[in-house]
Amino acid sequence: MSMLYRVFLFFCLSITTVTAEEVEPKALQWLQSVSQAMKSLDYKGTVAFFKNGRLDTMKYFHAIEAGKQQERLLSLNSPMREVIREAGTVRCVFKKSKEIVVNHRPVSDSFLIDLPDDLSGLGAAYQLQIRDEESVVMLPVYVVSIVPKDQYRYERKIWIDKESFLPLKTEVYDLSGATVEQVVFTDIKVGEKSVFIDVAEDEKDAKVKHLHKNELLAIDQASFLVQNLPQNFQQVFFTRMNTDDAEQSVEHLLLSDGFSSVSVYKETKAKDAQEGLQTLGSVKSFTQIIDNHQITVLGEVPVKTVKFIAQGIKLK
Amino acid sequence: MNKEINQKISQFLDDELDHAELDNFLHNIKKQPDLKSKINRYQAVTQVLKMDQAVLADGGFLEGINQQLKDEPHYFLPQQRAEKRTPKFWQKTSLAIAASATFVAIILAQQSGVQSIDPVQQIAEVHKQVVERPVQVAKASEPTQHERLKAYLQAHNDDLYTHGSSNIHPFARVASYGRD
Repeated sequence: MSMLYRVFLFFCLSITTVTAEEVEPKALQWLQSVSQAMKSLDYKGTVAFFKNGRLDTMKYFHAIEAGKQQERLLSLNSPMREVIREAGTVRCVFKKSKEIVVNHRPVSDSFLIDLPDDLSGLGAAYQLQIRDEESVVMLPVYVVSIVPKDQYRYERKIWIDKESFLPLKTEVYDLSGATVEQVVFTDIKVGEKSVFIDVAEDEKDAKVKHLHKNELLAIDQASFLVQNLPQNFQQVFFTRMNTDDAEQSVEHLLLSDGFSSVSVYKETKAKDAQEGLQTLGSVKSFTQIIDNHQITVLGEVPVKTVKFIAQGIKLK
Repeated sequence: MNKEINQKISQFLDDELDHAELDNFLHNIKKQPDLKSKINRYQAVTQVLKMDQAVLADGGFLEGINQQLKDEPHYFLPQQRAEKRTPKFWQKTSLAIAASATFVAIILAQQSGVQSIDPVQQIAEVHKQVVERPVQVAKASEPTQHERLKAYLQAHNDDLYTHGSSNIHPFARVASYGRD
């Protein structure tokens, strides 16, 4: 190898390293701005949610009042429903059947995209890449790819409004690169005040079903151990469901890496319990029977992930 | 030979085999596990066609089923059916004699206190078990399995509300057993 070629190679590698180091902090800074904008701005519009081959279009409102946030979705098509997220609860009001489902422990923080609370730890599991600039709803956007460093999670892409830093479009891709989920604004107005809805009003004549109403328990109270955890997955919360009936009681442990979440459920083995892998649209689950218990690990992650976590579950 | 077996399966599923043929057929099933699994597949297909619910299965799983069906020439419309549906006089007569003989045998057995097993009834029982077993399993497991999955998904994934599917029977349509 000639001296000149070596110098040229060193020069090229130096440029690449500098570029890679510069790109990631910039993308990270944009994501931090997105997180801040989503919490602090009033904005509304129409959002199309595409998942499992199904498209749902909903009116979207994000309101701020006295430091509190309220995120509201209003369906444009049947089943007619209104979904409101505020103060750590999500309630879905089905207009026709007058049913309300209240989830007191929602897994996500937003219907648009989940961003980790601490973005600085992202680098352990993901690589941020800046793509070519594009336009969404006629607004210029930055495009950031969040590429996993292993095969335990899916890639995501975010289209960020250059002016407001709101996420105008997000996509999730499976391991083959196919789109698993897409959320996109078809129109948006930023800065226009939205009405803060009184959620108690809807509950007067409705059948209300509560999820995760029980208080959170210390994770060490779980009767099982999770021995296999992919990089960056943390135990987020642990609770018990159906506590009125000990036979039907289900332990629920939520794991998350900030973008992807996985739930572990443990309950008494059912007569029709089936071990193995199950595909539920984009959600993958893996069930295994240990003694007289069935453990189901479920999440919008690759098969490898649910299987890996399930196979590392041990009863205490 | 394969054609004849497929025709027998088709007749069996349509309940068109006479007792002797049925006996012979059930005897063959016991000896051939492949034949049994083939019948199970046809029964599953028949059951799905009769159901209102559509099951959206994983692509790889569907491909596997399609390939197996392609490999098996099937005859859902048995030939010579018309001939079998018009029994001749001697067939009717022998059937009447057999029925009378069975009736007399049952009465005599009851009077003598001997516990006899009616071979016709035995075949019918086996036939009933073979035909009904997959249906019974499906009825017993599906609702609870779906309810459990629905509860798990509702507790896990609150963005399901954005897809209009968390209401009544959402996940039955997207649930399937298979591979990634």
